[in-house]
Amino acid sequence: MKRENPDLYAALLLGILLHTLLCAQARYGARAGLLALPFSAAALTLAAVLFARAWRQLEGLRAPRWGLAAVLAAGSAFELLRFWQLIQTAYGGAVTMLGVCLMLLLPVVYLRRVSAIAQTANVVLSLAAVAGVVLLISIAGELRPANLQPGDPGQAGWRQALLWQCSLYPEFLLPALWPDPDKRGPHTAARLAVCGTVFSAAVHLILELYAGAGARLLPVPVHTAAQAGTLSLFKRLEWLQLILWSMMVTVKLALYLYAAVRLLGGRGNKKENNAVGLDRFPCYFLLMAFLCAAWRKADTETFFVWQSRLLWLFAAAVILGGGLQYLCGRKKRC
Amino acid sequence: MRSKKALLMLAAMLLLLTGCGAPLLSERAVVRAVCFRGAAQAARVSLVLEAAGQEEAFQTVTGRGASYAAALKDAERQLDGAVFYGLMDLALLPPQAGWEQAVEIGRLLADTALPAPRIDVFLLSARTVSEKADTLYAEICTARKKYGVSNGLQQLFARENECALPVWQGTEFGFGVLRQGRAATVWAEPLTAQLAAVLCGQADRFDCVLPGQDFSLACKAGVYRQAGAGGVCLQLTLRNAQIEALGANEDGQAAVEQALQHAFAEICTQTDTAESGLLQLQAWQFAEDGRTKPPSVRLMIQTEQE
Amino acid sequence: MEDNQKLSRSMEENIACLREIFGTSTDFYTKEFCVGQVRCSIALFTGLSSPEKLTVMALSLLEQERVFFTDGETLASHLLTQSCIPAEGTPVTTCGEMIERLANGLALFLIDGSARAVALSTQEMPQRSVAAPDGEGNMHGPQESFTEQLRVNISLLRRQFRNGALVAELHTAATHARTEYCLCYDRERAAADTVKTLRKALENVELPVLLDSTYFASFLKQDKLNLFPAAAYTVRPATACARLCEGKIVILVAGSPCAMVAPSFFAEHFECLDDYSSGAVFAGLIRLLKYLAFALAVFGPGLYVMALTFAPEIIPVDMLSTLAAAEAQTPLPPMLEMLTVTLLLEIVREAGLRAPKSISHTVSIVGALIIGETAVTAGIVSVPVLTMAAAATIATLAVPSLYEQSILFRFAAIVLGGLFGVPGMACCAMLVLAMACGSEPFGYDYLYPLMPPGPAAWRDGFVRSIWSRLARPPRP
Repeated sequence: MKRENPDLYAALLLGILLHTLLCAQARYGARAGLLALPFSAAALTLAAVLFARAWRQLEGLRAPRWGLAAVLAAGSAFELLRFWQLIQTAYGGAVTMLGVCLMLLLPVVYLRRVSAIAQTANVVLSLAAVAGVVLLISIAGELRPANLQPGDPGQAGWRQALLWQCSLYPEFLLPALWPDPDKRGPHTAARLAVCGTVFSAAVHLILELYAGAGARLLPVPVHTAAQAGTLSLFKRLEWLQLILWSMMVTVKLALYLYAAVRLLGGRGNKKENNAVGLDRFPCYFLLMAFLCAAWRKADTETFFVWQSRLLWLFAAAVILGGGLQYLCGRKKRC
Repeated sequence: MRSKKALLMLAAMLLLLTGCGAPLLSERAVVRAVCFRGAAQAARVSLVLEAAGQEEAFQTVTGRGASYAAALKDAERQLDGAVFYGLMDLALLPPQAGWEQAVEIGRLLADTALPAPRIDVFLLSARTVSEKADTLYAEICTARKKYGVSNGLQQLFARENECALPVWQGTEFGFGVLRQGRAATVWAEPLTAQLAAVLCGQADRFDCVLPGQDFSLACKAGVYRQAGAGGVCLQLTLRNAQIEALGANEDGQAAVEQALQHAFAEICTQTDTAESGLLQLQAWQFAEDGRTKPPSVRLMIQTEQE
Repeated sequence: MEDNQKLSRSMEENIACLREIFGTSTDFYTKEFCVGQVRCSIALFTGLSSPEKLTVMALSLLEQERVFFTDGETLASHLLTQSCIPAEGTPVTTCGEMIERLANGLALFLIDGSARAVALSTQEMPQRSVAAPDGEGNMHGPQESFTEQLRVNISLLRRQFRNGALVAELHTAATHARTEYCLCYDRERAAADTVKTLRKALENVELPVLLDSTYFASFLKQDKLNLFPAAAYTVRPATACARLCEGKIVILVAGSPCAMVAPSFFAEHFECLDDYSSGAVFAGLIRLLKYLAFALAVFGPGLYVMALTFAPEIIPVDMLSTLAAAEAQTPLPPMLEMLTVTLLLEIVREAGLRAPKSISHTVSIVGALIIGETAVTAGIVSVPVLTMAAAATIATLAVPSLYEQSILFRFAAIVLGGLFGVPGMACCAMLVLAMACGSEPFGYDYLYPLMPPGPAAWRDGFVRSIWSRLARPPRP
């Protein structure tokens, strides 16, 4: 009942699930995805745990903090752009990019506190679970086991599945930034990795059941499947999905903002429970508006691919640096 | 401080206005169906519109162009108000359409019809191609409910080089398979067409007169595929079958089974089950012993009464 | 004259002091007399205190006592510690205390030669009787409501709360009128840190005037931008008692029949006494209906405007032509039309509330006729918009404690849905959710027990369990 030690796990998980839900294309076959699942989950868990350990050695350095903050800022802008492009496919021309950005950023003002982000993420995750079940029921009639592609995915297919499932998102690295890292064991990273990869594989399976070989041709396939879903009372349900996804984007933006403030050395008002101060929001809104306007024509999918590669490099550098720092420190003590 | 606040308020109000852009409902032209006719170079596209406040239920607007996309644009230009595809539920393809044309039309609809509606796709036959689009729409809507036909735009892309679609023949529907680089296979006979639709998962019932005109069959149907060492068995279940004798013969059950087996044999022969995915056998056979080509396929019919 | 100024040993000086403060007030009464050899005086406000009661309670008894007093201190000590006269146990020693006691309706016994005055409870002031409450309608349960008298309200609570755990702390607010308020809590159930925090927060509140417990509300909010209330309110002692049993704190303010309950949770706005009197199934159904009503009240008009303007695919095809025809006949776009109708309905409601009772019927009829009949006939508003707005207004009344929030959120939903479509509705929904999730009354989850979903949500959250399960303590 009393809010003590709010946990941001739900917010991190939402960010990871969002990448799968809003991806522009189905990336691999269902069979290859299921085969690659254990390996990708293990790889992501290992990367996250080693990064968390190494970060503790290096968190005093400015360069990695600012670098990660820049990645988070860019990630936020591209998340906004990706959602705007999704709205364009559904209601093209009706709402401007600035309007969509404003609608997604405005609620972030009320998500200044860690406890607010945590509780809102819990609620949105619950709603997402319910909405997922409703979506599945509404397209159940269109899911045909015969659409499953029977061919052996081969080395190339398996490699592609592994590559996409091993996309490293900032959410895997952010737990290293939170206070009291000793209280969080590797189980957080493991849970995130397993849930993220299982969800991705499951969504690809459902898409293949729905559209067969055409799954890879569908633009924004999860949304396209949602558009085909109807229940007897409600003819169209995709607008509910859009509302839910925009909530998930908002939670993700709030999470990135909080992490960026921590990285840049800001400490919120003590009275407000480690919050992002209200005075930072005008700068934040302007920065997001500027980045979105500057990158409006950029390819969001390419960005997220490069973001993953950059984060792998960054994680490797931090792990290496942290390991060296630890060994040097140990040598000195000896 | 005051000027800062005033500036912020002004910025907020301007930003609020960034959202205004949608036309009113009464200014929208609501498209219910789109009918593609003519060949690709001399295309005609008819849009069936909801006629608000008029005697007739629907209006039709036809556009012409060198391609289907151009013809669609021409039809949209003739409309009063903004075109709205969100409530469209039927697309009709020309009778001579091949697989390539069907996919081209499917991609055009996927890109143009926004917010993407749930569209059933039908092929027109030679008999129905000259009918008015709004008449066709009304007839097919009734038939869809009666025969339980539903497919969706994604059916055009579900398999890599072929697609199967119902064919509207005026009073009932047939069924056709379009394959890349080959002529279309169309079954006009109602029982064969309905069996093909059920096996493809695009229909869930039978409602027809058997070929010999001896019996009429009306029932719900379901298909279960079982792969085994001897091949693949398709178990067709007829639920609450109402078999009405129209002639002297009284053994309706036997007549129905015989007719269905005959229709199935015709389907297998004409579609070359080894290559075609029409009967959706590959997954099951592959699951059994890794082969992609089933050695044999047979139909087993059972009836259930609830 | 300062509040801390000590009383003089001279009675005349004390009387002069009081006359200086209250001299021109016609209801201020003083009378000098002698008790033995000691000169005394009584001071009281005639509207608040009863001279007859004073005579019966004190003066007659004093005359009957066979003690001859020669000095003031002896008389004061006798009255305070030995006599059976029901005087207040604590003597009055400062000017501030004198004024406070007189304002509370007590009579003061000023004694020449003593720097202590004796206060006697002789209050008799006109007051409203304990009647049935106007709002918070319930079919079952007690039908009493709080009154404006603080001590009467405390006694109403004490009657229901018959164990010794009820604590009623009296405090004086830092207002110009020095209004009293009372903190009531169950010593065994209320969290000590919450009581301490609330006490400190209220002590630090500085207001020019305190006429109602709701004045404290904004000082208890952590986030001033949050529209959800920091506390709940009730006029029923039974409800207040139930909240005390849950470990909440009830704040009563003198002159206000509205008790404030803190901390307050979102789910409590959807509960009422009848929930616990009816069967669990029916009570659960009604509660779910209230949640639906709240959702309809907040999002209904906005969703309608959004569907009409941006997402007509949501509208059933059969209704499309009706709505399009209705929209074409009215001059305003749907968003402005809905805003206008909602504003008009609010004006009618406000007029009905503020108008004298003799003409409030007229207001209702005029409002219904003008808006309902004439405006539609003239084509100013359309029937679907009016229907939706009216349905939302009725739905708001199903959860009256969240009325203000429903209206504000509804306006936001209409504007955002009408301007931005689906993203606008999403923004509104997220704002409401973020406000609810971000609210932390005294460190507690505002959405408890609804979120995170668990056994507590089904025990007494979305629905209610049967009493045999409710009576058991919840599992940790």
